[in-house]
Amino acid sequence: MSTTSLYHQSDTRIQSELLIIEKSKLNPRYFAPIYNQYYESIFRYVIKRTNDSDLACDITSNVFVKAITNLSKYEYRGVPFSSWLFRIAKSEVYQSFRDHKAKRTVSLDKVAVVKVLDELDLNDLEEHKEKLTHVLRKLKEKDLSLIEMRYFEKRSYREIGEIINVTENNAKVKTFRALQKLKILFKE
Amino acid sequence: MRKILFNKKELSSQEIKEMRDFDLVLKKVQAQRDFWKNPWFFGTIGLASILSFLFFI
Repeated sequence: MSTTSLYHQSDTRIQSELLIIEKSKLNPRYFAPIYNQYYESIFRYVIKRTNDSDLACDITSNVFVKAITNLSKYEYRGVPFSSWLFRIAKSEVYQSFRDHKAKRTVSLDKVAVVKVLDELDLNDLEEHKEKLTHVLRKLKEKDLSLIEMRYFEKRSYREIGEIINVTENNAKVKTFRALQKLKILFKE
Repeated sequence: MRKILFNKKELSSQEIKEMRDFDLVLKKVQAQRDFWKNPWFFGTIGLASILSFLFFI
């Protein structure tokens, strides 16, 4: 399964990013290249879950404010900076659900639906689309989030692990279990 | 209740690019820093701490 490419970076790119981060700790203006690089991917992550472009714009802005404000706490431990941004984005999106500013949305395209149905050993899209909608509403948030990141956003297990703060292997196991739960709900 | 959307038209990269506003981010960062530096903030916290200390003894 192909995964999102922005995450997989060369060592040179990671090093140049770390240099920008160090400079940004002294002066936030230096953070602009990182802001420009990741704005779109963070915005897309947020809007897929909120379906409100104005709110997504606000949340994305807050993600970068939090990142800059907490930059002194950031230490490179082999995990790309983007994972740290996605963790902040995840937390900000959930905060906006708690504040009732946003309603949880799941955005699907035909390719993603076909992929999930394939994993469930089902093949007729039109026949099962309605059922999938129903089942995705019933799935627990943590399971939905894993299915969403893996199958709808095509993230690697390594990236999922870094976003939810578990090992790559653990992310794989958790995603597999989430898929099993989806299967059980589908059969009900 | 979750809202499930199928094949919703996504914004283009250009549309998203137009939403970027790094100056606004810098302003918000500065506003947060100013808030913590504000003597009124620590004055209020300090006064509240003294009052609670006096209340408990």
